[in-house]
This record gives sequence, structure tokens and C-alpha cells, in this order.
Amino acid sequence: MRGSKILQHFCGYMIIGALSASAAVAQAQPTDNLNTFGMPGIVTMPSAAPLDDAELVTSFALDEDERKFTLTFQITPRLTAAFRYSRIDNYLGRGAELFDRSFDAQYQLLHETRITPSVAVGLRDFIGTGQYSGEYVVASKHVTPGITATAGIGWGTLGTRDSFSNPLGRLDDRFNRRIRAESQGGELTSTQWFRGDAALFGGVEWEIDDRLTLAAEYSSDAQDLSARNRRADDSSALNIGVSYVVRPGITLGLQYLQGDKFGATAHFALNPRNPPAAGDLSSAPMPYALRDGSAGRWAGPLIQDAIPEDERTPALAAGLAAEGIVLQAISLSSDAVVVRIKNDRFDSPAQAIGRTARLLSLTMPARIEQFNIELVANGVPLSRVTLQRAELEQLEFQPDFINASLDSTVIGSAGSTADLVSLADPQFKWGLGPYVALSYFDPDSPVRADLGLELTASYAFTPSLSVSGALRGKLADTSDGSVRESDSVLQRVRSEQPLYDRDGSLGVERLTFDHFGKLGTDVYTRASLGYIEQMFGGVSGELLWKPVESRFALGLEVNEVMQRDTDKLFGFGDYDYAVTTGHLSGYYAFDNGFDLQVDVGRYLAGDWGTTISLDRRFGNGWVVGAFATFTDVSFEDFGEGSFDKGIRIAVPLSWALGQPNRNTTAVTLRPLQRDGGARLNVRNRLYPTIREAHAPELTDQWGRFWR
Amino acid sequence: MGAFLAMIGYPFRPHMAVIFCGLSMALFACGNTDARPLDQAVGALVSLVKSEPPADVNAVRSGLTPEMVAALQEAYTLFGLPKLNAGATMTVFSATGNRVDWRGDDGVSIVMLNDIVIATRGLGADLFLADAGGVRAAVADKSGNVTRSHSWLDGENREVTVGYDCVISVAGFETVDLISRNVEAERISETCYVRGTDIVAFANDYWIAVSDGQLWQSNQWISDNIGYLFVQHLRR
Repeated sequence: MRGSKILQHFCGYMIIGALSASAAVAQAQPTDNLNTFGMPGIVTMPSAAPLDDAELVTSFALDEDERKFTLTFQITPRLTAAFRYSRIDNYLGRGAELFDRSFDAQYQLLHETRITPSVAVGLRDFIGTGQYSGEYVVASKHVTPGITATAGIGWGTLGTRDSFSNPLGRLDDRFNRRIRAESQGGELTSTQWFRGDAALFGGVEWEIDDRLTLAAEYSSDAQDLSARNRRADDSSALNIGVSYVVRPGITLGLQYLQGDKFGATAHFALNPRNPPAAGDLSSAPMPYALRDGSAGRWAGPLIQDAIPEDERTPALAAGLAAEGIVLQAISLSSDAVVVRIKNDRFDSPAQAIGRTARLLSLTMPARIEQFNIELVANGVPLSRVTLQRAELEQLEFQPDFINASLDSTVIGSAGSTADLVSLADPQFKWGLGPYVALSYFDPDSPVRADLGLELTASYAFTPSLSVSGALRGKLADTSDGSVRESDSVLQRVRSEQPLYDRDGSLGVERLTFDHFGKLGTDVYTRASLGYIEQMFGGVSGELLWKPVESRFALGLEVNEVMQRDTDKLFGFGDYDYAVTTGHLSGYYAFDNGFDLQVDVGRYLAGDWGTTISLDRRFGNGWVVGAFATFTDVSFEDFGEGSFDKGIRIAVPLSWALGQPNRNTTAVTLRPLQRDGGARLNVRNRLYPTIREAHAPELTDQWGRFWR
Repeated sequence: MGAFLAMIGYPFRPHMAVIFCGLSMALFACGNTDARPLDQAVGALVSLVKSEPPADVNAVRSGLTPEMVAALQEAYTLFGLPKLNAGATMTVFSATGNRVDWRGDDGVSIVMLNDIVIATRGLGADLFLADAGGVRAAVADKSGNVTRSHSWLDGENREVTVGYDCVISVAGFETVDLISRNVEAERISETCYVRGTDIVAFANDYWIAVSDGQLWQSNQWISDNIGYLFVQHLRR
């Protein structure tokens, strides 16, 4: 279908464009040289220097036989990791192309000093079918400020030219043999690591100026996956490359490889730590109003005590509404006020609290000394921030006002409040807009996109009890109408997703009754009933224990669901499949910005197991993480990939725009979606909404209180 | 007159395809939910790409005649950000003691204590707070050593503070053109070194009128991204 091709290309360009646009403005340091695998390197061989901490690079590399797309992330200052999707033409001379997914990791053992080189150890393609599998130890040293020399020893594919017997063989005879195990791919290939023959590689990079770099290497990789050279040793060991920094973050390269083919690369680098706008471009807040009458000069006479009692709450609500904050309830006592607010605008809850405090300083009578601000989500108060009015009057623009204001502030659990007056919130909400649904790394196509219209509607019976739904009508997609048939031996809880995409072109995306609540001070609840997600409907219940100050949370979720029909309407007849699924989940937020989540329980296909997720969470809302699920389904029954795993990235729009915004674009990249280890997609799980209103995260972002 | 914000978005040029997609989504989207798809995002995109011609400080100045300035009834200040080719005029929004919060119509706030910039808001890479209590007195004395401490919120919303040691010195007499009149002034320089180093971080200039000792014009450093802020008090 011609039209769909055009859409596919357009979407591809859109994604590349978005990445390059963000790269162009991300003020990244000039990128260290990256090789065709998207890892620190010379031309195709690795080098030892890591990227800048947290740098995220998207790489495209192509030559006449191969195309590689790689996503590389500097997880910690020493640890680099990459996920790759590649296409190899005429794989092993069989005529057909191979789509392959692979993971790399490199760890810097030693930093470069004036005398000693940087030293790193790395694994190339260490999970997967192992087309590129190789290991290396590499050292790099600046000979002059502009010239870097690299030398290393490689095993596996990196030990296939002029190889010699493994020096590690003297330690243990097992290092002498590298046996390629039969596998569905996806398993750690650790039984092969550093085994078999080894070979030496090396090269030189010459930075002519800030933009231009020349590189030449002697490659120890003689493998030829596209079988162009019948005898691998016919190819040249010398690869040369030139790279040019078009603008900070965007590097284009040309390579001459193996003496007989050209290649081209494009690297787009950005760093989540460096937002393009370098800060918040939104309007300055209202000044914090004093009680000495000075505020009347800029705010007008109708402030504080001068506001008539019956207009006080409307005045506050209107002021908050202008800031994108909904006043849900208020209670005024002799010397304190409690307000419950729903923050629809600020990605930083501390900023929403700060704006609310400024409006309270304008609208509350002078006798009020204490501002209690409770952040509310789904009708449930999540925490109470208690501010001392007089303290804040003294502190604005005083040295160290961030820490000083935090010292006098108490962040505690939201309590019950006497005489709390609830305000009406619009009960019925609806929206109609376009949607784009992208899926990645389908075995037949790197990106698939559906484009259509989505109608959403919700009705709130009370702030914490609502019914909501989404209806989607597909207008165009990139598929050619054919659906690859699932070969899964498990219940096809996910692998027949393409059938849903094909048959459910006008379907109910979700339609649920949801109730949220709180038991005591630290336990939150959720109950959902209805068509919970595209493929499953039923009932879902969740409990979460999360004290306000705690870095640890414990959750329990139980779902009783049935598999929906592929037309995404109301039936459950196609599959006649029901399952009880659920997990006990532990969450821990480390103070270095890493989040660990462990889920133990039963998955959609009835398999039992554990999911481990590790995310690096940035102070601006970015998340880059990875997860893996191991269940009692054998690797063989699971099929290609052996177990469920993937990486996920969440980009807050506020980061890209420099404006407060609560929307986040999240992408989960799985090498392959199979049926084992699959979880129900519940839209409104408790932990993500609750954690941001709690102490560790609020305190960490407290600077935004004064913004 | 003039607006900082239109300029500050200037370096941000997202790929046209992304804008196109965003705009087409906005055109089609409607409803009353507070989670309108991409609504705020698109609004922000529109404000970033709308093609307001750059209005630098000279363009803003040229829009002001001596008659207009002479007729001003309240404090009025011209601000410029040379690095961003931006200029704007502002009036006093609020004042607390000697601390004045200057604002225009674009949501940007410049906070000065005794005419020394201590904070900005709405510029992006804002000076979150400067502790520069001794600077104004040293400028009046035309010599001396002062300390400063500047803080910013980094890309992860965490406070970063840098201390500076600054040297105040006299740089000569100059005429300051306040549009409606000229003022003979002495230029005082403040050279600031990153504390404990001999690295010059920035150098501010202050023009003090010979006649009344008032600070009528200054050039004050804000941040790496924003550069210097030019300040001219057209009317006090």
C-alpha cells in the first residue's frame, strides 16, 4: 500500500527529527567518538573512554550489507549500555535478510591519568542470538590532546582475525573452547564469555579540530554475516573513518570498511540532565505577600483581611485556577488553613505548593499563621505540607532560602480535617483528539504506527469514584494488512496484538469504573472494574503501603480478568480465557536517583515469576530504565528471546518545552513481545501518582517551591 | 514594549515535522478535560515558533522618544540581554524595602536589591538567587573587595551554588544616554573570580552619576546561557 509506506517513512523521519531537534538544543558536550555499533570506539572497534554521565545517544549506521539502529545510555559514570536493532542483508549467504536485536555493555575499570590509559572491559551482543557476540578488554590513551591511541584484545567475533589461542587458557582449560549453545536467543551468553581464540585490535583517533575527527583501526573482526566475501580473510583488516560534528549533539560519519565498502553513520546525542531551555520559561510567580500592607500596592486593596468572608474561597479558587491548580477543599480555623489542591499544571509538585502558598499569603486573613497544603490525586489526599506563614515572609530572596524554608516546613501524611468544605469540580469531562500508536521492533518492521481519533470521557460520581473510557477509531496505519501468525505455545495473551490492531479499528480502548481510597495514614487503595485495557477486561484491586517519609513502598495487586475479543468491543468469546493474575511489589527509591522495583506473582498467561526493574530517575522527570521477567515458562516455550525484557524511557514534555507541563511521553522498547511474563496494563497504578507527593521526591525538588 | 520571552525560545527550533504533528493534533483536539491531549504542549510550541521579529535593546530604545521618557510619571527601566538579542522595558511590580521586583508584560521578573540584580524569573537559565549584599556599598566607595554567592537550579531542579571573590575598581568617566537626557557618570568595574581561583567568571559594570551618586546604568552577569543583563534606569 503506497499511502502506508509514505506514512511509515514520515513517522520515521518524525522520530529522527524529534531526536535530532532535541539533540541540537541539548547543549551536549562534543560527543566522544562512537563506532558503528553506537558505543565508544574507533571505527567499528571499541575504545575505553565512557560517554558523559547520563548521555543518551541514538545511532544509525548503514553500509551495503547492514543497517544498525542503536540506543546507547551512560547508566553511571563508568557503565555504558546499548540496545541495538539491526538488519543484515543476505544473512550467511542464504538470500534472506535477518532482523536481529542485541545488547552491549562496557565498564570503565580505570580512568585515564597523565601516565596510565583509560581501561575498559566490554561485552558486545551479550543477550540474544549472538550474531555479533564478542568480548574485549581495551585501553585508550591521549598521546597528545588531539590524538588518542587505542589497543585491545578481543574474543568471539572480536577474535576472528589473526587469532591466537586464548591466553586465559593458562588459567583454566575451559577458556580454550567457545561452544555456541543452541538457544532461542535472549539468554545471557555468559558460558561463552572470554572463551575461545583471541585476537588483538587497535587504532588511532585524530581530532583535527572541535568538529572533525579522523580514525583508522586494525580490526580483529573478520566475521562476514552477509557472506559477501566467501572467505572472510579476503577482507582487509583496515577500517578508516571520518566524523564531523554538525552541531553539538549531532555527528555524521563516513567509513571505508574492510577495503571494499563504504558506510555512513549518524549519531544524535542528548543528555537528560541538560534541558534545552536550561530552566523554566514560564511566568514569574506572584510575590509572596507580606502582612504590612505593602502587597496592596501591587495586588490591589482587596487582599487578606479586606476580602469579605464569603468571597475568600472563590478568590483563592480563581487565583489557583489561573495557575492550573484546582482547589478541591478548604478549612479555615482560628490560626490555620487547610487546602486540598489538584495540580494539573506543574511537573514539580513543589512548584505547585509554592504557587499555592503565594496565593494563600494574598487571600488569607492576617490571623492565619499556618498554611497546610494537601496534594490530592484521584480524590485522595497524598501528603500534607505545613508551612509557617511568618517564616516565608522573611525568607523570600534571602540567602539560602531554599534550605531555610525546608527547615521550617513539615511534610507529613494527609490527615482528616474538621469542617473541611469541598468545592464542586466539573463532573463530566470529555475530549476528542488524534492519537498515534507506535510499536517497535516487530519482526517484520522496525516501527509500526497507527493513526486515528480518540474520544475520551469521564464522569466523577465523587472525586474518588468515577467512570471513564476511551474509544478509538483508526484512520491509517503502516501495516500492509497481513498479520504474522503467532507461533506461541502459551495462551496468546500478547502475541496476537496485531489481530486486535487489525480487527479493532473502531474499538473500546478502555472503559472502567475506578475507586480510590485510603486506609489509615499510609495505605492507599484502588479498585477498577470494566474493560481495563485493549486485550483484557475484569476487575483489578490494589493496595499500597507508602509512608510519606519512606523510600520503600509495598504494593499488592490482584486482578481477575478475561481476554477480550479482537474486535475490541464488548465480548469475551474469541478466546474464552480467564485468569487470576497479580503481584506483590516492592519499590525502593535509592538516594542516588535509581529506583528498584521487584514484582513477584502470576502473569497473564498463568505463569508465575518475578520482574526486576531498575530505573534511573532524573530530577526533571526523565526516566531511563530496564526490566526483565523470569517465569516458570521454559525458555523454549517462551520462544524467541527466551524471556520478557525491555528498556523504557519517559520524557517529560516540560523538559523539552521549558514550561510547566504534567504530560510525559513514555516508550517501552521490547526486543520482542511474547506471551510469557506479560502483565496487565493498568492505567492508574498507585505508586507513580503517590510517590511524587511524598517526602524524598518533594524535598529533592524543593528549589522549585520558590519558582 | 519588547519581550524577552519571544527571544529566549529562539534557539529552540524543533524539527518542522514535529511542529506540524503537534499543530495538527491541536487543531483537531477538543473537549473539556483537564488532561487534553498535548494541549499545553502545543500552546508552548506555538509560542516558541511564532515569528515575532527580534527586538533587541536598540530596537526597544529606538521606540522611545525623549518626549515620551521625559513625560514618564513612574519608575521605568530599560533591560537588554545582548546574548539573546532581547530587550524590554519594565516597571516596578512590587517593592519590599530596597528590593524591587521589575516586570514587563511577558512574565519575566528581574529582582534588584539596591540596583544590584539578585534574581531573575522566567528567563529559563535564571539567576535563582545572588547573595551580593556588599556590592552596592563597594561600588559607592569605588574600590574594595566583595564576595558574592550565586545559585541556580540545574537541569534536575537541584540548587547549584558558586562563590566568587570580586574586585571593585574605577574604569573612567563616560556619558550615559538616558534618551531624555545625558548623565555624566563614572564607570565602576567589578571583576569576579571563581572563589579560590584566578579564573575570571564575569565582570560587571556600573555607571554612577557624578552629580547625584545614583546608579543609572549597569551590565550585570546572570548565567552562562543568558549572559549579561543590561540595565538602564530611564526614570527613577
